[in-house]
Amino acid sequence: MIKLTVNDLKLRYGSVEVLKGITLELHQGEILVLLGASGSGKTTLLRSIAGFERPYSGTIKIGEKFAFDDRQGQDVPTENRGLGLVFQSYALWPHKTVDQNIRYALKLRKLSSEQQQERSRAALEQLGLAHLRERYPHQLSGGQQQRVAVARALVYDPPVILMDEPLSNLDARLRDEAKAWLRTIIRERNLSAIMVTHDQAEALAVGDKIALLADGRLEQQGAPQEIYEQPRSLVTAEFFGSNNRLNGVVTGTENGMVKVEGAGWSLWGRPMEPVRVGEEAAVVIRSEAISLTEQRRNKLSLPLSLSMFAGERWHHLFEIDGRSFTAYGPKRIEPGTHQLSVEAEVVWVFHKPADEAGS
Amino acid sequence: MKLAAPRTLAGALTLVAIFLPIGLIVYQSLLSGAFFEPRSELGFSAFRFILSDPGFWKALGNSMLMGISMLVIAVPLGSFFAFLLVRTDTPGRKYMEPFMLAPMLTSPVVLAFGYLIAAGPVGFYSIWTRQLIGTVPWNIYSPISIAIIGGLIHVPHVYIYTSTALKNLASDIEEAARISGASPLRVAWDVSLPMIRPALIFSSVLVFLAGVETFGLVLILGNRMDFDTLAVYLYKLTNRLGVPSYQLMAAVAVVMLGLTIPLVTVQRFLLRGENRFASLKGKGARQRPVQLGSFRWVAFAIVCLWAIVTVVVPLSGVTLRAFVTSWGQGVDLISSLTLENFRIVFSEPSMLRAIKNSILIGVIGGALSVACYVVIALVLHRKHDGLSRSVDFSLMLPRALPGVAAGLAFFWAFLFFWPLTEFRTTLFSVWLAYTVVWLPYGVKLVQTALIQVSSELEEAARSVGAKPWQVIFDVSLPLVRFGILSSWVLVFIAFEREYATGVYLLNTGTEVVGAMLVSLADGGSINMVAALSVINITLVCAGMAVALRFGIKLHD
Repeated sequence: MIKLTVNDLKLRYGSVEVLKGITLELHQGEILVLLGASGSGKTTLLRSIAGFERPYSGTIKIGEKFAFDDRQGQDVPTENRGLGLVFQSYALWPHKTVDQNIRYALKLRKLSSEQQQERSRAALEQLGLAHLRERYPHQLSGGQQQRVAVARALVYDPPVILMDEPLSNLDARLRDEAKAWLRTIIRERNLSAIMVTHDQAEALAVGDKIALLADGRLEQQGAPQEIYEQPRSLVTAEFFGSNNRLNGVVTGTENGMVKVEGAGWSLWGRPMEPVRVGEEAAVVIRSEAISLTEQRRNKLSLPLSLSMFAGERWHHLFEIDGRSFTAYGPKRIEPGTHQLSVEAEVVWVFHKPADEAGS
Repeated sequence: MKLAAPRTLAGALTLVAIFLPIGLIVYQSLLSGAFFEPRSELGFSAFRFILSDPGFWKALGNSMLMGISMLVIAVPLGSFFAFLLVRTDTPGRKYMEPFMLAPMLTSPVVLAFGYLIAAGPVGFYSIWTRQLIGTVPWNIYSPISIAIIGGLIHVPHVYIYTSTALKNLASDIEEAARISGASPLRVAWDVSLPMIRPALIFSSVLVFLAGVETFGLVLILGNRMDFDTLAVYLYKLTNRLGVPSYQLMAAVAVVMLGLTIPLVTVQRFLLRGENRFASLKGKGARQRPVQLGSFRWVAFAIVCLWAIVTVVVPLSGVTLRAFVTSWGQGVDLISSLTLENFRIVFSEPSMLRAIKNSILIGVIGGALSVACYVVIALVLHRKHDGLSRSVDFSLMLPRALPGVAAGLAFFWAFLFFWPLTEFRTTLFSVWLAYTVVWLPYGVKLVQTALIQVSSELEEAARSVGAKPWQVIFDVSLPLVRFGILSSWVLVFIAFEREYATGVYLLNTGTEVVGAMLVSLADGGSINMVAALSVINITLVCAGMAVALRFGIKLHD
């Protein structure tokens, strides 16, 4: 069942186009992550869905009802959209106790005092906050505040919960815990959620589906593993993971694979978009895909410039074409030239963007 | 419930309350007679008349003199004191704050009477000095003396702004200059001063404006030597001409607006860059005072001298005078001590009403005014439409309107515009005039509080289903409770100090202490003046006590 539909949504601030036609769907029980760098439009999109921003074109449908439709002049005010929203700052009302914060939405919905109490208690218990109900927000830790903010957003069973960078105010260790907690809570209650984040690790861990936004457009949408392993554009490929990027020219094709050559190197790779022989190409290889030990057809002979210890592994920095090229290994390696090899399947070949200067 | 309609209504009422009096003054100034007379014709005859009056030009010159004395005295002294008390190890700097605030919180009329009583020809300090050294080395009845007093009592206005700027200045940027090789003096000149320049320029415009508008001080001290400023000239026109000439008074008021509106506009323009300097806040917690060495005692002496001349002399004079039967050459102070003056004040029905009304207008009126200011602040809150812009822009106009002129305009409005005519002899007339005159101040107080409420707290309420009016009553207003309480106390103090706005509205039933003091300026019993002044000081002090009790900051 589709809980939320966004169709060709466009929004501008003054003359700046912030959203340039976004189309999305959210299904029942799904967590959709809006991922993107700052300025990509992800928070604006979330705020448009919540009703805080007014697009100039497109539609937003919650369930079967239009919340926004520019042709009908329909723009349902925030409070009537019935969504839940978790703010980045949590935005807990400092003059209300935890219990009052959570009950406020129920009070607005004119529930009886007993019902309010019961629902609030149930929500607090489920989120492990029962002992905090009489506290004020300033008496809570960051992690507790975050849980209360989530409880406040789901206590009235909204069809969709929106979350704006809900984990960004937590310190690193709490964030890992909260990631798991958040995903569990949403899955257990079979909720439908949209979460905004700029952190790819968070997106990959929490989302059922990731929508990558860049410059107001939807770059790619898909399951975390799919979007990580099958990027359809250079932008998507470079957004995730730790990458090595090479610029070269396509010099041959064979069995659907292409050969790319640069200054002193040549590699076979998989074309992620159609490329022709003679065309300039951008090559992206994830650092973890490069092997220092195995011998494959695809080889690079590169001088080591630096080896750094990074805890569970070593980072080896090589030099190619005046750029740095990273590979991982289990132990320190000697200075000098090394043989690096990589499977052609994970050497991704894209068009070289027109706006990039030649290598 | 949609908020659009009430919001438009509130905005429209605000615009009417601001433009009705100002429009009335401008319209009246362009008529040949009173605006209610059918024979009045449009034209510039009123302006021609006052521009050909040498008295007007003298008053204009004196207004300028007062403005310039502010720039020459108040700005250097105020910023110097701010530097001494905030950034140096001047002794006793922690105890100086009340002295720095006292002249700002005391009514200028009370201070003027204080100087008259303490340092006039037969003043306490004049007689004691003569007994001591055989002569009195000063004469307060001279234009220069009045200008100096005006400058001295406005030192705090500069001090407040520059000291706030200095307090927010992190010492690390000064230390960076020191480590680069600059001496403390060079640091002050090259780093600290440029950083507080916005505050300096802003307070310069502020005190120049106050100087040009000077009324009470000159009315009382300049009376005996025909020293008038524009506001005093306006006030005395009726007496001089023998008949009330509305068009002439209006023309003088318009000339004053012509001087003040540009100044207020400049101030508004200066404040626009306010945020640029907000980034300096926060890190200024740790400050190491500059070591002055032996100069610190000189600095201490300079600050004390100012405090004695500006605070101790006038306030002790007026207080002492309130408790003696008479004073002059050869009068024994101890044997003339009495409470009789207060008995007389309390047995006079009009005085009693004035005191009662002053309390009423400060407490109840202040609360109602703050309620209005809250509504206006909410009209402006997080809105950037035409209504918001026009209300915001017109809010600066009452600041340009001198109290006397505002009082005059409201007097006319209450005299001739139904339904206001029904309320002319009630305290409502004074309350409305006060509320409009203090509108920019009051709205700014409430806005400062409202701005602290993060927009996300309001959006959070919308997102769980609260309608705009529920957001206001359930989230915004509860969060600024303390800010509203503070505004009430500060507006109370402002209303107790106010005097000029009430003088034209003074009537049986509308007496307030401030206006009564002005009316006693000409030949009133000095016993009564002194007693009434002490009562006025007491009322302001009551407000201050409440402020201190609740930890309300008397300035920002």
